[in-house]
Amino acid sequence: QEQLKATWTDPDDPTTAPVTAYMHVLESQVERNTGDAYDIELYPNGQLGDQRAMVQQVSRGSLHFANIASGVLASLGYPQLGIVDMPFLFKSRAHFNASMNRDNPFIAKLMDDVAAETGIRIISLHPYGFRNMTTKDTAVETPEDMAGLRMRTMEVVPHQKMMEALGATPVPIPYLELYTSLQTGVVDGQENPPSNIILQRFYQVQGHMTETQHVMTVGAVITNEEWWQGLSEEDRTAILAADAEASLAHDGIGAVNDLLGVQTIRDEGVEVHSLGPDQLEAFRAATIEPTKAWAVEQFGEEFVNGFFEHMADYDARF
Amino acid sequence: MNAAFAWMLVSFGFLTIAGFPLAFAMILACIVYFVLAGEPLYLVAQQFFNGIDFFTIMAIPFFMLAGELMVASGTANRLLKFAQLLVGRLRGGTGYVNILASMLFGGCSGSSIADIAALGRMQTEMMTRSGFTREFSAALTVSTSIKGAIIPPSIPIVLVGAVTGTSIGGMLIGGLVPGLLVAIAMAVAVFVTTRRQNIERSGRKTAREAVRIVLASLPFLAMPGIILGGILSGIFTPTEASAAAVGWGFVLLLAETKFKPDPKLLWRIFLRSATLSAAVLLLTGASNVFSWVLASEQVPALVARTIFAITENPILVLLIINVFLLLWGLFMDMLPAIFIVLPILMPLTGELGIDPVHFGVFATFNLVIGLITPPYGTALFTGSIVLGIPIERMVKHMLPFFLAAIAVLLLITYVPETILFLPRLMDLL
Amino acid sequence: MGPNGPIRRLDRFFQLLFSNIVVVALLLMVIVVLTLVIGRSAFGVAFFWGEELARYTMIFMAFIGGAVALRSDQHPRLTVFTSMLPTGVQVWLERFLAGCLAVTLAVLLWQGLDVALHDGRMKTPALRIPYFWIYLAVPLGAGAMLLMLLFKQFLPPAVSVDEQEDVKEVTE
Ligand code: NA
Ligand code: NA
Repeated sequence: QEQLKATWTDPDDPTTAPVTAYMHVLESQVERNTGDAYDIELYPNGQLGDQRAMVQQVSRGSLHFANIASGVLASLGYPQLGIVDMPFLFKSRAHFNASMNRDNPFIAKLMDDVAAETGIRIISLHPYGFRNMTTKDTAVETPEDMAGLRMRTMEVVPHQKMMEALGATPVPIPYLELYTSLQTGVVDGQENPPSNIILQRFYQVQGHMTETQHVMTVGAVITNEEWWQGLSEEDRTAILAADAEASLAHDGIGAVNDLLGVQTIRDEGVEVHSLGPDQLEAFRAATIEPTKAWAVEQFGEEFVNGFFEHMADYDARF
Repeated sequence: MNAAFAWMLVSFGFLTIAGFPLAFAMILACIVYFVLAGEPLYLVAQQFFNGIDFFTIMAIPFFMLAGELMVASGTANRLLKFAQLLVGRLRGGTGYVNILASMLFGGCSGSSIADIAALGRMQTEMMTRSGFTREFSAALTVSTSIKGAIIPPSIPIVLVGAVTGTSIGGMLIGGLVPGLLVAIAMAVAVFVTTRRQNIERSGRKTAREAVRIVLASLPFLAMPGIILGGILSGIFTPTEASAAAVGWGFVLLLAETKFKPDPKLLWRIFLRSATLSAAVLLLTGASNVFSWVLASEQVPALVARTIFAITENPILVLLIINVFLLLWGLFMDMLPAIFIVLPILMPLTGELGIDPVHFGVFATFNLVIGLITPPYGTALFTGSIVLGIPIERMVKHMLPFFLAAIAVLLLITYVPETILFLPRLMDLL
Repeated sequence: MGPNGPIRRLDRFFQLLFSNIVVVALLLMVIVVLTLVIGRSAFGVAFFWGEELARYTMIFMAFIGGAVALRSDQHPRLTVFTSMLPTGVQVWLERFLAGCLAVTLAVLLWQGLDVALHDGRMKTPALRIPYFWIYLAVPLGAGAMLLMLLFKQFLPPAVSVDEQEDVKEVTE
C-alpha cells in the first residue's frame, strides 16, 4: 500500500468547505477504486504550509495532491494561467465547469502545456466561489457608485485594473489586517467570496454587499507530473474517476454554502444587492477592455484571442 | 512517536541547553528530522523563508526602531520627571514614580528589556536616594518592566499574532487593561511592603516647573495616542502604525537635537534595531520549520487529547495551561514558547470556547512574567547587568511583585472582559 | 595577524558592508511604508507594489542582519547552563557548537540555493519579479553568516551593536 499526501488550506469540515468535501471524497474514492492500493493522508488547515509551499512540495514530488487558488495558480511559472483572474468570465458554476473541464481540447492543451513547462499537472479546475463586493456606507448597484471608493484587492493586477476601470482606488491590504482596516475605515470596502466574508466576520463592519460575482475564485487540484506519468493507465483512470466524483461534492457544497452564506450575511444586517443581467452587463462593459488590454500585453494576443474564442462557444448556453 | 521525531526533540533539547542560538537549534533539529524521516531537506529553506514572508511581522523592526528613537530623544528622562510630578509627593513616592514611569514608557516601547535599559539606572538611583535599599529598588525596577511588554505597543503580542494568526490589532489593544492592572497591583505591593519604612518624599515643584515638565513630556505621552488613535481612526493599519511610531520618534529626535541629529548615532540606532529584529525574525522563520514538523507529526492534536484526557472543565484546562506556561517561564525563554508552544495550544481555544484574543493576551502575559522569574529570566539578567546588582540579592525582594503579577494573571484569565472589553468596545473582535 | 592585517581588514570590510546593507534596508522599509500611509490618507493613491517591496526588503534585512547579529553574538541563546561548566569544557563546547552552526548554515546555503533555482520561476503577484531574486536572500544570508562565523573564530567584532553608550542619562 502506497502512502499519498493531500493538503489544502480550508478547515476540516466537509459540510461547509468545498475543498474539504472534495478531498474527503477523493480519499475514499481513490482507496475504493484502486482496491486500497493507495492510502491518502489528509492534511487540512494548511498544516504543511501555505499554497506557495504546497506548489513547491508538489513540484518536488513530496506531496501528491494539493488544492491551490487563483492568485497562486497565476504565479505557478506559467503566466497564461493568470487569464482566469480576469473579471466577468463566468456566469455560474455550471458555466465554469463546462468551459474549464479537462475534456475540453483548449483546457486539455493548457493543462499539458503547464505540465510540460512547470512539472506540475493540474488534475482539475474548480469553481471555488464567486467574489462579491462589500462596502461600508455606499450602496453599489451601478459602476458609477464605485467612483472614489477605496477598495481592498488582492495583489493581482487584473483585479486592480478592474477597480481602476470602475473609478475606485485599489488598495492592497494584507488579509490579516483587513478586518481592522474595514472597521476603522482604512478602506471603504473589499471583495471576497461569501464564505470568506463570514469566516472573517466582515459582515460586522460592512453595511452593503453587492452580488457582483465579478471574479470566480478558481481552485486547482495539482499533482507532480513525473509521478503522474509514472502511474499505470488503470491507476490514472481510477484517480480521475475519483476526482470526477469528488468534484461533484466540491461544487455542490460550494453552491449550497454560497446560498446559505448570502442568507447569513443578510441575517447579520448587511443589505444585499442582487444585480439583474443588465446591471451586471454594465459592470462587465466597464471593465472588460482595460483588463483584456492588460492580458494581451502579458500573455500575447494569440493566447488571449484563443481563450476568448474558446469561451464564446459557451456564451449561448449560459 | 517515531525515531526521527524523537531524535529531533533530543537534539533540540541538547543544543538549547548547550547554548546554541535558538533559531539555529530549531533548524538543525529539523535537519536531523528531515534526514532521518526521509523528508526532502529543501523544506528547511522553504519553510524558513515562508515563516517571515508576511507584512504584519514588519511591526517588530519598526516598534524596536521607534523605541530606540524615543530613548535617544530623552523620553525616559522626561517621563520620569512627569511621573515624579504626579505621584512623587506620596509617602514612598519614588516607588510609585518608578511604576508610573515604566507604565508611560511602556506606551512607547514594545519590550521589557528596553524599559530596564532606558529607565533602570535612573529609577534605581532615584529610589535609593529617597531611602529605599538598592536591592528593593532594583527588584521593583525589574518587576515593573513587564508592563512594557504588554501595554501597546508590544513586540511579544505582535509575534503571538503573527505565529498563531490571531488579530494583532485586537490583542494589542486588549493588552492595555492588563498593563494598567499590573501597575495597580505593583503599587499595592509597594504600599504593603514599605508602609512601615521611612521613605522621603520628592521635593515640591513650583507651578512654573510643573507646567514646564508637563509640556516637555506631552510629545512623548502622545506616542500611545498616535499609535492607538491612528489605528482606531482608520488612518493606518496596526502594522503601518508601527511605521508611524518610527516617524513620530524621528520628529521627536529632530526636535530634541534642534534638527541636527548625530548621523553616527542614527546609524547605530538603525543598525541595532535592524540587527536585533533580524535575530527575532530568523527565530520566527525557524519556528515555522519547527511547526511544520510538529504539524506533520500531528503534535497539536496529541497535546489537545492529552489535556482533555485529564479534564474537560475549561477552568481547570486554563489552570493547567497557566501552570505549564509559568513553569516554562521559570526555566526557559519567552521566545521559544511563543514560537513552539502557543501555536500548539491556540487550537484548544476553539474547543474550550474562549476567544483567541483573550487567550493570546493572557498567555503572552504569563510568558512575560517568566522574564522576571529566576533561575532564567532575560529581564532579570538585563536588570542585574544594567543595575550592577547580583541576581540573588535582587530576587529576595521580588516575591511581593511576583505575587501581584500572578494575581493579575488569574484575574485576566478568568475574567475575560478585562482583556476583551476594550477591543470589543472598539469593534476590533 | 596585526591590527591592520589583511584578514582583519577583510573582516572589517564585510562587517561594515553587511551593517550598511541592513541600515539602508530598514530605512527603505520605513520610507516605503510611510509613503504608503501618507499616499493613501492624504492623496488617495495606493502604490500596490509598496507592500511587496517593503516585505522583501525586510526579508533581506533579516537574513543579512542575521550575519551582523552572529558576528556580535546577538542571536538569543541560553548561556545559563553552560556558564556553570569549567572554562576548559566551555571552550571545547563552543568549538563543537561552531562546527554544528557551520553545518546548519551550509545546509541552509545549499538548500536555499536549491529552492531559488528550483522554485524561482514563479513571479511575485505585484512587482512581477521572479521569486528567484527573493529566495536568494536565504543562501546569501547563510553565506554571509558562514563568513562571519569564520571570522568570529579568530577576531573580536569590529562593529559594535551595544546600546549602553546611546542611553541618555538623567542630568539632575
Ligand atoms: Na509597550
Ligand atoms: Na524565568
